[in-house]
Parts: sequence; structure tokens; C-alpha cells
Amino acid sequence: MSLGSILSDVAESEKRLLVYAPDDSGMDLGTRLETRNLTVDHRRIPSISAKAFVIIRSGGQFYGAVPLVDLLQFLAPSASHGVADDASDHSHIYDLFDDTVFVSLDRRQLLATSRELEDRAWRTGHGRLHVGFQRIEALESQRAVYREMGALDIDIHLYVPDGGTVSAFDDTSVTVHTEPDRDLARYWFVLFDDGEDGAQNCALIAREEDDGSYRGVWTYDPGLVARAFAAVE
Amino acid sequence: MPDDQSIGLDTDTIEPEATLPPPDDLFRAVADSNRRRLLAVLSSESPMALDDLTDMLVGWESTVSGPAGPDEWAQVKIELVHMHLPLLSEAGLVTRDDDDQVHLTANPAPVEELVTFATEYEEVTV
Repeated sequence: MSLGSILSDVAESEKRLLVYAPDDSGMDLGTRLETRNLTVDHRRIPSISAKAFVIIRSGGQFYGAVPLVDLLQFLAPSASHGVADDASDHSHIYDLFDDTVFVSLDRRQLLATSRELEDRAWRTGHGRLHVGFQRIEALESQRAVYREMGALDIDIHLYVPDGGTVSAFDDTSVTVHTEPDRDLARYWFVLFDDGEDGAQNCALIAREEDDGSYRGVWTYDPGLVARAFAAVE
Repeated sequence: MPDDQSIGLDTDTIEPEATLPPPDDLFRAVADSNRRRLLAVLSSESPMALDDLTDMLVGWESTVSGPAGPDEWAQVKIELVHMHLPLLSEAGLVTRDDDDQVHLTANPAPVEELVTFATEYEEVTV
């Protein structure tokens, strides 16, 4: 178990969406779903059929078919997600639009996501928070935040690259790890477990590519979050 | 019947060399909405892979009946292979090759008009 295997598992579960429409409806679906772990293609259907639909395939196998209007309604920002509730037996089809995100991210987006996950931990006030840094300066810029969070009932573990010197967080529950035998240096990660029912659990795992960009997963899936903790601890 | 006769066979549009299915075969072939959908799809793109045709039928039906999953897909494929394609084939309208590609072999004007009429009729009656 490693962070890398989590990333490759998520990449392999990529879904393919085929939008069949008699006109240009749904052409913006690719843009609207760009942060999801899927690809979108478009095909024309005879105008005689008039109504557009979406076919979802996973690993080459048929996964589901939904009317395009239903999917657009589901994805609408104001949607109450009532479509999924009404669709009884097939609500799982919508699940894949809901949770795990697989994306290319730049540093600014990674920072924003990290702050969001840390903020979630702060608001929850208890649980475990594990954060991996690639540079000690990144940790130092957040030192005050972690010191304050460490005074809450959150067990905080910070991982920094080998060879770094980090002054201790006195009188807090913050533990700094500088073990050299860990293959975590390529990863930027923030993992949070609320220590209760998992409703607040979340994880960001990103790997720096050779060109300096990052590929990663950002998820609220409790199973994936648990796997990430197992990989790091 | 109104003067502009919206339903009627325009014999002028029938190509002389066109092979027309016997009436009973033709009406059996278009007696089911799935088969009419198949003809409509294949008339805009042929050949099509069997699995893609199954996708089309399941997706098209989802716009009427709601979302469908793998169970429905498997059922539709069985019906496609064992019922719809054989009936369309008997009428001389489609063939399926060894690579599971389905070809529209003939689309004479009267058949195309009949499918269009039936699809429009379906829309105003449901």
C-alpha cells in the first residue's frame, strides 16, 4: 500500500462519457466535468430521436444511461440532487459525479485545496490530521495555524523532507516526522479523519511530475481516506 | 384525407432498381419502436458496432423511461441479437457481419418515410 497505488487505482477507474445529441446540447459537459475522473466524447444522433442522452462506460463496460437533461439538472449548482433520489435503482449512476476528483493541479490550486481541508479539520475540532510537505518553508508558513490546531483535540502529524531541521512544536499535539526512509518526498498530501463517523473525512494526495506540474486526487470517500492514512502511517 | 395528403406513397421517389420488402415483412419489421429506432440510427450511420447500437437503444429508451444500468443493457442486447436484427434481416434491411458490425443494406424511400412517420406518430401519441 502506497500513495502511488491509490493514485493509479483512481486513474484506472476512469469513466468515459458519451454524449449522444441531435444538436449541440451538452457540448459544455466536458468543461463542466473537467475536474472529475472521466473523459467526455460527443456523438450525433438522428434528429428524429430529438432527445439527448449520455452513456457512461467504465473499463470498457456499460455502466449506465441517463437522459442528458437529468444529468444537467443534477450538475446544476442549485440542484438539491433530487434526481438521484427519484431514480431509485439507478441512483448509483450519479455517484461518480459526486465524490472523487482526479485532476491536474498547479501549486495555487493545491494550496487552496489544502487550506480548505485544514479548515474542515479546524471546524471539526477533533480527529487526526496528517500533512506532507515537500519543502520546509511551506511548513513554516503554516506554523501558527498548526500550533493553534494542535491545541484542539486534533492529533497532528507533519512530514517534511529528509535532512530538514524543524524546531519542535512545544506544548501541542503536533508531531514532526523527518524519517529518511520514507518515499513521501514527491507527494503533497493532507489527510483528515474526524475520528467519529467519517462524515468530515477528506484527503488530498498529489504527486509532482517531472515537468513540475501535479497530478492528484481530492476525495471525501472514507475508503480512500482510510487507505491514504494506512499508506502514510 | 386532406388534399395535401400527408400520408401516401409517392411512387415517383421509388428508385426503379430498389428492392422493396414484401409488405408483411416490412410491417413486421417496423412494428416495434426499438426496430424503428434501429433503422433511424443506421440510416444516419452505417455500419455500427453491435455494442454501440445497444448503447443507442438503451440511451434512447432512457429519455422515455429514465436511467438504465447494466442489467437493462444486457437484456436489450439479447433482444437485439435474437429478435430485432433477425426480423430486420428477414425484411432485407440490415445484415450483421462476422465482426459484429451491423449494416443497413437497403433504405428504400417508402421504408424511410414509414419510419419517419411512425416515429413522429409515436411522439404525438405518448
